[in-house]
Amino acid sequence: MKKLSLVFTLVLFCVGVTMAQRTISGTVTDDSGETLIGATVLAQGTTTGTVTDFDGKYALTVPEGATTLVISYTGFATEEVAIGVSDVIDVTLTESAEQLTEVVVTGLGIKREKKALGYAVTTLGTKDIELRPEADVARVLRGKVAGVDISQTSGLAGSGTNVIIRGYSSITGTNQPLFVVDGVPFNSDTNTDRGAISGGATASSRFLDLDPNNIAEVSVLKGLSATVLYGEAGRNGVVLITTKNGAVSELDKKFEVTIDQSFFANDIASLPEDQDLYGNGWQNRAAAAFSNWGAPFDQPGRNSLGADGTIRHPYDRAALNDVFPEYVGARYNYQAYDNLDNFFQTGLIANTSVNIANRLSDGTSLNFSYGYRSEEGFVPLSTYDKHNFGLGISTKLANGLKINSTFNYVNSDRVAPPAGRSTSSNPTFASLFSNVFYTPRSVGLYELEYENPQDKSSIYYRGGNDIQHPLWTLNNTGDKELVSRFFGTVNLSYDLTDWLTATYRIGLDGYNTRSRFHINKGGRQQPDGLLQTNERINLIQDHTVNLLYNKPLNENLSLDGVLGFNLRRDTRNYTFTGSTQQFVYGLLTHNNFITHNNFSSFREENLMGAYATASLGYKSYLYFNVQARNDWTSTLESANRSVFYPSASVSFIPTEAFPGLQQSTFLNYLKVRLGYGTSAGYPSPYATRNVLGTTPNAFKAAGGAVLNTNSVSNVFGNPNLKPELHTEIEFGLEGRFINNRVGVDLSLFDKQSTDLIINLNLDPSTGFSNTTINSAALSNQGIELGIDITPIQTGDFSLTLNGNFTKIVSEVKALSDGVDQIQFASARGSLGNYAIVGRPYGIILGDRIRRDDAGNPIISSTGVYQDAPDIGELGDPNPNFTANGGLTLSYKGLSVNALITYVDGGSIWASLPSTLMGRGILQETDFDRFVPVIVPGVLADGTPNDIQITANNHYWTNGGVFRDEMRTYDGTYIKLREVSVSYALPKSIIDNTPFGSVSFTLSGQNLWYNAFGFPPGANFDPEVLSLGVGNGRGFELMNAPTSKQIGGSLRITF
Amino acid sequence: MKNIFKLSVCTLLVIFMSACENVTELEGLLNNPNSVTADKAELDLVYNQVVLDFRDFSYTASDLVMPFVRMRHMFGPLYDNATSPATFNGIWAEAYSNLFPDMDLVIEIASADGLNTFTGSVKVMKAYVMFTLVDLFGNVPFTEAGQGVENPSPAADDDEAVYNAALALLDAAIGELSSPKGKPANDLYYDGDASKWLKLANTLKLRYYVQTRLVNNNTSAVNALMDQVISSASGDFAFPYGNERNNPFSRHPKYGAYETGGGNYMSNYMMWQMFAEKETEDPRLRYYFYRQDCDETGEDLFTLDCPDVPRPTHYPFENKSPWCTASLGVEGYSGYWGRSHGNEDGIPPDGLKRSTWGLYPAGGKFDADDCTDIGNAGVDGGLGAGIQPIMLSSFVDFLKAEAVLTMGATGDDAALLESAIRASIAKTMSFSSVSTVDPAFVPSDMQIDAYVTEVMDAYNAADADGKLQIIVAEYRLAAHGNGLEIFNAYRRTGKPAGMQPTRTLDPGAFPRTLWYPSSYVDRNAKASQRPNLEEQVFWDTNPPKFIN
Repeated sequence: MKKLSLVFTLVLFCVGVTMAQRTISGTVTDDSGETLIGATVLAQGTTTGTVTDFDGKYALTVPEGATTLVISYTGFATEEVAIGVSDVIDVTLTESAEQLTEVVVTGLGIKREKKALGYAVTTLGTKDIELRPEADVARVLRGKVAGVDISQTSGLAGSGTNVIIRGYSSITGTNQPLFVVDGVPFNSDTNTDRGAISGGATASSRFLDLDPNNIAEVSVLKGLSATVLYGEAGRNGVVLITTKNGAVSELDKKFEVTIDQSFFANDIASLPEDQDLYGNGWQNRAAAAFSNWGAPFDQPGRNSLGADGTIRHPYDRAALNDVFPEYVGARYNYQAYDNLDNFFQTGLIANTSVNIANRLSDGTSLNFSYGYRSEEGFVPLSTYDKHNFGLGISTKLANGLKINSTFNYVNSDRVAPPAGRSTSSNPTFASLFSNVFYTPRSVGLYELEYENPQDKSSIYYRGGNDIQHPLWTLNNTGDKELVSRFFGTVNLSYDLTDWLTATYRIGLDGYNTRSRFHINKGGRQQPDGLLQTNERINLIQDHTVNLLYNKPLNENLSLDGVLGFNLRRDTRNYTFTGSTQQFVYGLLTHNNFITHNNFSSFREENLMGAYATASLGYKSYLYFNVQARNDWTSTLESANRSVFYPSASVSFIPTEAFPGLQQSTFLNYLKVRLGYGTSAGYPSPYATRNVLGTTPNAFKAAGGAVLNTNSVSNVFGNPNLKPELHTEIEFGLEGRFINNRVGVDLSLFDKQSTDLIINLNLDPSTGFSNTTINSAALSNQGIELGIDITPIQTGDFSLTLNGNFTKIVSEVKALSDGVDQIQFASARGSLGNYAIVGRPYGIILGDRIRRDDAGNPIISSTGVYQDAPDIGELGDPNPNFTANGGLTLSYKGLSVNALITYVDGGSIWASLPSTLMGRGILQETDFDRFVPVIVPGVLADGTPNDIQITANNHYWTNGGVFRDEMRTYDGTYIKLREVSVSYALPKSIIDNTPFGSVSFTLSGQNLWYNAFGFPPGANFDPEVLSLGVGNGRGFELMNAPTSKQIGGSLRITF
Repeated sequence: MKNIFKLSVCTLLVIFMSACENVTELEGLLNNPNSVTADKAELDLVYNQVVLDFRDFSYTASDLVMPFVRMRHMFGPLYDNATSPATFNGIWAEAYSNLFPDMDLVIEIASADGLNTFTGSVKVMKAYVMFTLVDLFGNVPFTEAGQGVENPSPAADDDEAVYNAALALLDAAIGELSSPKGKPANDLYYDGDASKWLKLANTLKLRYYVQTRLVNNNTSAVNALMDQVISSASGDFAFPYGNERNNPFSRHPKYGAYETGGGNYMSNYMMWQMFAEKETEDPRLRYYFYRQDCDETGEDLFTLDCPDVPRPTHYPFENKSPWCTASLGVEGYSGYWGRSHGNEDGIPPDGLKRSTWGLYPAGGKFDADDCTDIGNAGVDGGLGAGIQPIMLSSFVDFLKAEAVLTMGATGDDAALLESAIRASIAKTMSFSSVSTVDPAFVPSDMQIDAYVTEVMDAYNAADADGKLQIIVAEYRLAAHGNGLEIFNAYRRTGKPAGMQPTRTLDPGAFPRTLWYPSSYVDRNAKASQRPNLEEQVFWDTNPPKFIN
């Protein structure tokens, strides 16, 4: 917080009055001896004051009669020092938990006193973000901000992250927040080259390009009254990130080099516990099934096992006898093999950061940063390497023009395994994981060659060779993405008068991604092989002109605000080349493939916005803020292009207003706030006009004639489309109690979204299959509660507990005339997430079993469940509430942190646990399988079911694999998300070294969890989003599991 | 100082304005740069789209209902969960949002120049789509359809009204095709021959009168059409698939099984009928089905578990209904490995073993007892250059025979039946041109005559009901690859009676109409799902549950 206060205090004290009597000078330092720049020094009972300079020094001429100096600094306890005989008073301030005068970054990067804000802002500093195992800044924020739901798509290195602030407010559009880095919009798209079900679910989210170790501060603006200045892009909340390079103008250090080095071990979060009694087969007999319902291991000579407990070697089959003559007549040990432990590896994550900061004597500041991350995943095909270079410069010209610039360059290289969907069996497209997890116990993944030595094709244990050997997948597939990205700003600022400042800022954010996905020929899902390359060139240009004013109207009233204009241009270029039918095995060039197809697209979108704000402060306890913005977009027809949206908020601090409250030791601070905000939302470009469908090369007739086609597009371009509207009312209460030992920050919000633009699937009998239309409405109401308690604070030892609680209730209010449900995400056909009028957003619908009127399952004449003819509700994927609890314990240089997450409820349709159960692999299936089962239920004539079926039939047909209803679990879980222990060497040890500080940190991520609703043997971590970043939720499709990391960091400054 | 200030402000403005040049454009960005506007459509290119979408529509309509009439295997196990509402989203969209707008666009563009061959042929296809929608779903939207967001919930019309509108459309087409003008560049059905389209239009009219005979026995209309309809293979209405594998895939969809094996299970019952029901083996057997593995015995218990499982008690023992596979226990035959009606078991690793689509009509392999698997990346047999049989001359003769027998139309029902069977056999055997067929296994004329004689002897000996049974039973065997005509005939005539029952004893009522598509029910305010599948199309006045 040190660096934030300078500007603010300068402003507060620029109109100081002096009555010269006696000059007192000194230095203000913190308890580590570091000087504090911009600390306020005030003669008590007067208006006389000053602030400390860049060396922490002050000189104050105190008026006669002044007896006490009051020294204050944001984030530190205010000190009162008696003025004695000495003219030199050096003061040491200690950091306080109390943050009453906290200054936070708000919209457009404007820093304001937190108490003046009529809305909730959560700010996190470096210590909450840096030196973590995660490369992804959003994941680092998990569990730390109430009202913000952050979910990883998987544990693969560099995989994407879904960020939802205050619920889903759009039904078919994006609900991802706006990222703003150093004041400029930052493209945080998750670019998927393939659909989620064919492996796109683990694509990176482009905020991955930020280096968490180079972040000075993150502010999360949640409500619309906070984000209005960002225009429609801010309607889903704004994550404001200030990099260390962007914060260079506030640098308080003369010259400091910081070096961090971290190493983490990266493992799969957990493996399922398998049963060890039965092997591969069906109906208790050994056979080359997909499943594990085979013979018991301990009964050789029966159940298709040889007398010595062996079976015919899987490769002793006609198709392979010439290739593997050694297996002709060979036997194979039918035993439990240890496959999974051998398949997964411990990856190494190494992270190096260098930061060099220097403040030159003329006021020019420089900050240089470099970060290198090298990450190996828990499988060899998962790696991520990233270089971040950054430079920040701040200077002031002799003419008064201030220039503040940042330049950042990122270069990364990611390799990901294929991660297609699997709902129980062979994956869609290709997937490394599904075929591994359900490997039957008696199939030795490493005992069976994975490729045919003649043609390099995949071979495996089934006679029909219809499963791709996972090791073949590992060696013959890959998904590689190279990113180079530049983002930077130039910020010019000029003080027109002492109360009016003009600024102009240009921001650029451009990146180029090149990805290559390949499968060699010889596999099972893509036997001919394929090669797909995608290139994206995306650029955001952002221009902003602001006039900032700040004028005290009289001694009680202050007025400040901004008038501004913003232009934003967003362009996206996309090129795809796909080739199939590999010619020579192993060579990955397009010209080595026989068939090609190409696609390219270009998209541009311009946005203009004009805005104004005014904040009226009365004394220091009542603040009234109004903000408004008008936008014009290029994505709507001219009649509907312009939209105006205002917001207003009030903040009142009773503890400042009423003197009677000020001496209380119970109530130290209380703030009440009320905000009203609105925002708009625009459709994607090109939704208003009809186009002609064109398909070249649609068919090649037997005679060779090629048919190209034109067609009426199935998409109806809706010229009447207009912006969607969001309004939100937010009420908040912030208080500190019991000598500041207890803090509470409560927000209640009610967000109503109307005229929502939905991608509406039309009944095809309208002649069209879909359109975009303003017809839906959605409501989100929520509670966000943050609490911190410091039960112990004695001398060197302190213990702080903090927690946050979020509960959001959504309801779909309307969709479209006659439409009461929309499927907006699909896991498999009609199984997916739906918006249903009157229900929370995202309800999961899928196949259900047929029941009689009393709810009893109806059993067919073969003894198994029947399917109901149509889909029905399986569950609500939204949690009832989410709570996070943190602990910080510090003793001298030692500090311990822990963070626990508890998520209550939320249904999940999970493929992995249900498949492992249905295929007889999980520990839970180690019962006596020869005992038949009678499924509870009634027969068609209403009498109780009395048909015996085998355990195999029951688990297979009624349980894991065929019945969506049986595959939906309660998603409640508790998780030890983060633990860290850090130790800073005491000053006494490093005083005689060149080092300014030396500290060590040990930390771990995702160390333990328990999801109560799942079979315990599955050890299932429900924290995955198999439908990828977007609106789909509550599905696990065996794309890729989660990971855990444990390691340590060393930090040295000098 | 003041100058410096001015200079700075000016610099700022210059930077700002120059950077803004393309930033401030709004109106110019409304047109999608990746597409062209709808007014650029070219007649031949839209016609091509109609040709291809009509192929998909007729294929899908035919394929969806095959399992009900045992022309391929039905999983079931019940009739009403053999399909779900979502099953029919594809065909619904194919008709309403793909075909109709493009058909209307062709008619609009071609009408301006009086290009009657275009408009007439498209109207014939449109009428076929309308008939089919009614045949499958009963009441469907028509008069309110196709209005975009102006009417997001088109109301369904009475099914009879839609049928009659289609008949009127056929009459309009007949008028236009009688004075043809213009020739589509890629009419893959008739190469722009308006006279063939004209015969098809008349054939569809004949089909209309036969189909609606229970509600309107219009014998004179049938008699007037008898000589105007498709009468030889040269007039067959079928889509010819190509053999291009990838660029783009132009093969018969069923040929997809020839990539990695698998594919539909064949109906045990239908295969069994072709070699075990009659004294004479059906000459089409080796063209219709291909056996990957000619020995279904000694299988791994896992790949074929039923040889040891006792017959369901409702499967008659007396060699009238196959169990497990079609050939198990039938002397002289083996490897006809399909599935019985309503067998819902999961799919074991028999993808390279079970019987599959043969040379006719999918363009697969001719069965010459070679018994090798088909998972060879699409290099076998006819390379997928099959046909979608939509209305063949044999079908027409079956319809005529039915009209003579049941409507009192003029003609010789026995002669029509014989000519239908012979046309079907000839059509099937003509496929030897797309593939290498081992002459040793090609049926001789004597074999064909023996087959025909056996059927005709039975026919001549049968009473009226027995005659109808034989006509429709033979129609079903001839219609391999087209489930729609048989699904209609079964509901219209109740024949062929006595087909293999489902494996579950009580499979529920046979579907007289299908589920409405979920895309229709869920998105259309005026639509609601039917409570069950027992609702009947207007032309089906037969009693409830008269077929199973």
